Amino acid sequence: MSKNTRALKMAVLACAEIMLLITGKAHAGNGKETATKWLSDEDFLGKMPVILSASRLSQPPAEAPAATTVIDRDMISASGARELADLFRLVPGFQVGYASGHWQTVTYHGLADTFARRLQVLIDGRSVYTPAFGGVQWSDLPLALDDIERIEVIRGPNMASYGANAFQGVINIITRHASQDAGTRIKAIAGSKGVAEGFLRHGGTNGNLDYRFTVGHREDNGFDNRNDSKRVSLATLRTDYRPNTNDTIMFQFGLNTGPRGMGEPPTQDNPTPTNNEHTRTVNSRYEQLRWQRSMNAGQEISIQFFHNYHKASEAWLTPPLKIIGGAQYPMNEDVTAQRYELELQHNLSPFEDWRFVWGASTRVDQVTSPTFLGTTQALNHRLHRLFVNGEWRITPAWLLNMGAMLEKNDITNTDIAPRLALNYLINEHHSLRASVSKALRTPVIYEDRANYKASFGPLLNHLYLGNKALMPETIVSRELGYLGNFPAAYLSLDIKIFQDEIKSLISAGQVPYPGDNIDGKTRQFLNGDNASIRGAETQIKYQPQKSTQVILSYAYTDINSSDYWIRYSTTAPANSFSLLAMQNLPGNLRGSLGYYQTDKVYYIGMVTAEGAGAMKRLDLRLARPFRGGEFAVVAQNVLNGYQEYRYQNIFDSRWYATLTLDLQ
Amino acid sequence: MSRFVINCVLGKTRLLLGLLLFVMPPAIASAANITVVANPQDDSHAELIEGMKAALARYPDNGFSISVVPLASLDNNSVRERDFLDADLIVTVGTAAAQQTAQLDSPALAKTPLLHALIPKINFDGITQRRRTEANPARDLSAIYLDQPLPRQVALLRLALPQYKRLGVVLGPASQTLLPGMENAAEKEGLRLYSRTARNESSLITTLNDVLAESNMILAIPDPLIFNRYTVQNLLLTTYRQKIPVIGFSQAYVRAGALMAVYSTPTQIGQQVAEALRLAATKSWKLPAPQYPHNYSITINYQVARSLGLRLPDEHDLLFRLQQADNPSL
Repeated sequence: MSKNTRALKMAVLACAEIMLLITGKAHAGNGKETATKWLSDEDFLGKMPVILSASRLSQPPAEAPAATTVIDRDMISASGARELADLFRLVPGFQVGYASGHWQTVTYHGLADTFARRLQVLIDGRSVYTPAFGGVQWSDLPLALDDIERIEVIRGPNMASYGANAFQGVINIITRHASQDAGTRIKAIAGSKGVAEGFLRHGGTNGNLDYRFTVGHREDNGFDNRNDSKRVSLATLRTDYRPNTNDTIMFQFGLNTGPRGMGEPPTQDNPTPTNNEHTRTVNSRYEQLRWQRSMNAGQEISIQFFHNYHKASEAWLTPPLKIIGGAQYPMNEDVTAQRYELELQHNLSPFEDWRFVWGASTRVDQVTSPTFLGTTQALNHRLHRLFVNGEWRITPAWLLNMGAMLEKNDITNTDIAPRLALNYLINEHHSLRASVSKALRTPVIYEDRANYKASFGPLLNHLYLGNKALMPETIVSRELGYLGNFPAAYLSLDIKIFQDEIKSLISAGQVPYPGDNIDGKTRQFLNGDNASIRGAETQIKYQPQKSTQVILSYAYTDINSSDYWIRYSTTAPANSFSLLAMQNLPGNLRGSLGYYQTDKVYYIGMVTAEGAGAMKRLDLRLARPFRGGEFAVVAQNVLNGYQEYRYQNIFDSRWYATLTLDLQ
Repeated sequence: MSRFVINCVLGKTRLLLGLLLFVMPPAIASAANITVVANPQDDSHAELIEGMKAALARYPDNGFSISVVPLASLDNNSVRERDFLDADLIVTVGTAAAQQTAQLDSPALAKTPLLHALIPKINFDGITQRRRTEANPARDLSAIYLDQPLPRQVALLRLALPQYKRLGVVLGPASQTLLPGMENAAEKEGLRLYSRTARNESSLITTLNDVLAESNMILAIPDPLIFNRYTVQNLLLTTYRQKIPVIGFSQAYVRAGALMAVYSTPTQIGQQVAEALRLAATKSWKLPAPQYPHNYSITINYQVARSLGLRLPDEHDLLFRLQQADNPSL
């Protein structure tokens, strides 16, 4: 705890120092040009940097090679979400489960346990799923919701464009450019369940440098009757520097530290759980540097380096255990995971009808965990990747999108993942899409190298064992899509039907282990089941006027699996539905409503009795903007409590209030 | 009122073109001396002078003798009086040259007509306003502006984005005066205009957001208080986030991320200077009225158009249609 406070203090000091440096200079150098009322000839004749560069421009939905859902700032604020993960409830086919108050699983089409391993998640092009176990530790990301510009969710595999692990889908989070947040914002949130948050953000510009930093603290008590509270101390910094009109150098730093509640209370069935209540201390940070040269809106080259660091310190003593003569056994689940990645990317449009992106990257994932990996040494996993994606506008109405990625890694050696999509733009308002793509999921370090055992004197209980012979999981995904605009009815419609064939799913299966003298078994990772997933998804947007919006999503998902090792067929809800409505109300009030409904779902690793039921949830938000700020009240789940992820996690009604002040 | 002014300008343009095309101007007998004040190191200035010379050279009777006085020599007080004394007409290139030449108050120069080229209209108005309050009101003064007339810009919007009817504009303290002209131009093209004035740079984005709430396209207006690298970046990012197209006023603006712009190159303005010189030479150096560029180009950022889901016509096609709308006699 004190270590975190110190780290945060240091971050705050560093930010304050940077702020002083920058603003001090800014005040000294400003004022001269603004005094004149003459226009500069240069405004007409001079050069300007490319602001909307190839990587910043998003593809219009009708031309995208895959089904895409965009969550913009209006939706983020209207949803009333306080946790990033909750936003994905708005995306058709996505499920969000709280394994605990601070541990969310976000998956597309099921197949998930506490880690959802089959999505690529990028924040400003930085891949954030953990190299240790796969999946994203959402509460540990150094990211404030207010700093997000938009989230693009690609529903379907796309390794050629988004890299390793873009197996079932991609979450692409784009933060705001430093220049968009000039001034100082102070935000405070307080509410039930111990919710207390405070943020300070300051942004500005000095000559060719735009900067923004955010510091914050968040805490809540998690679910009632569970030891799953979290305290998060957060600091992020982003600077965008333009040495000339073609080049941009972006630097980012972020930190998220603090304790999280873990473990289970004693129960009648298990009065002495070895995973008893304890604390996990998280120290998560990153540094990212990107140089980008934009020649024009179609041509751009960038080189990026980043480093992610995530350390979970988790050591505790079990209750007195009979099996070792009433002694307390020292448990330790410390894990340090790091990722270093260097990437080159080149966007070009050599002919009018062709656009290309190609690039290469190399990365090292490194995990240290004496308990989980059975060694005090850091284990490395190297991955090199070459990718190309081309888009050919055959005629104004026909668009062909082709891509492939070649991946070479330490675990499964060389793999190739191609994709092909054809879009037909029937007219201005209607378009069709057909695509087929293949993707792979390389095992993560734990699946490859696990060696998790507990020994009590002469007794050895072997729990998890890696498997060097694992093959990557593969998916072949076929989809048909339709996009329609009905301006007269203020409606837009997106429909996708799909069929995914997934082979060699990696799961932990019980196998004999002679060294284990307690039950003679361990759980080893193996390529077990196959799954075939088919379904249909739709999103509908109704916007009769700017201030009134209704966004609806529905997904039907049917998983067919051999279910030999794992009951994969029950891991996605058959039906899931979400609705977000925004409306300006009299008295300068802004109202919004989020409604979510899903069928029963099972998360891997839960025993049947623990599985969560179906859910229905209604969230309401009422905001009153005023000059220089906003006051908002959010009530989450005003209906009956439902089970999140497992039956102990009752998500009952809760509320919080937000006060935002923007100082110029 | 301002429509009347605009029509007058257009009327004169037509007349001028008519003169050039159909009335053979009398041959220029003796050599005419033109002194050009410019910054030869500035690429746009060099380009303008080249364009002017090339246009003059196309006539067989080219009797113009051009001498270029570097702007820097005015700063150094090392003005060669002779360059100016011999001049039948002085052409300045750019705002700085216009400002400094206008201040040359040698009595010997007081009668030499001055043609300011490559100057934004606001700046030219500033200079003439200042002159009126000063000594020498009699001098013949004219200009070929650097910026485009509002009706032309609005006509481009209507041609390129016929389905868009709500035009948003953010004005600044200096560009506020454009509002009546803007209202007229919008009305003529059947558009609804939503305009707000930002008082300073820091209120630009708030003001822009107010405008964006009402409109579905933005016409960017240059204003010294609200236009700079920083605000352009912010404006482009904010409008793009709302998927609202911005119509810029320069080639660079479009490269940066505006959807399109109508603009004139220094070469095109140089050609127009040549035309004005030839006309003035036949009228005992009586200058034509200040005028907007006749020749212009269109640039479209197709990548941005595409990302906004807009299908725009070909640049040449659009330019042709704009020229027709701008000047039906062509």
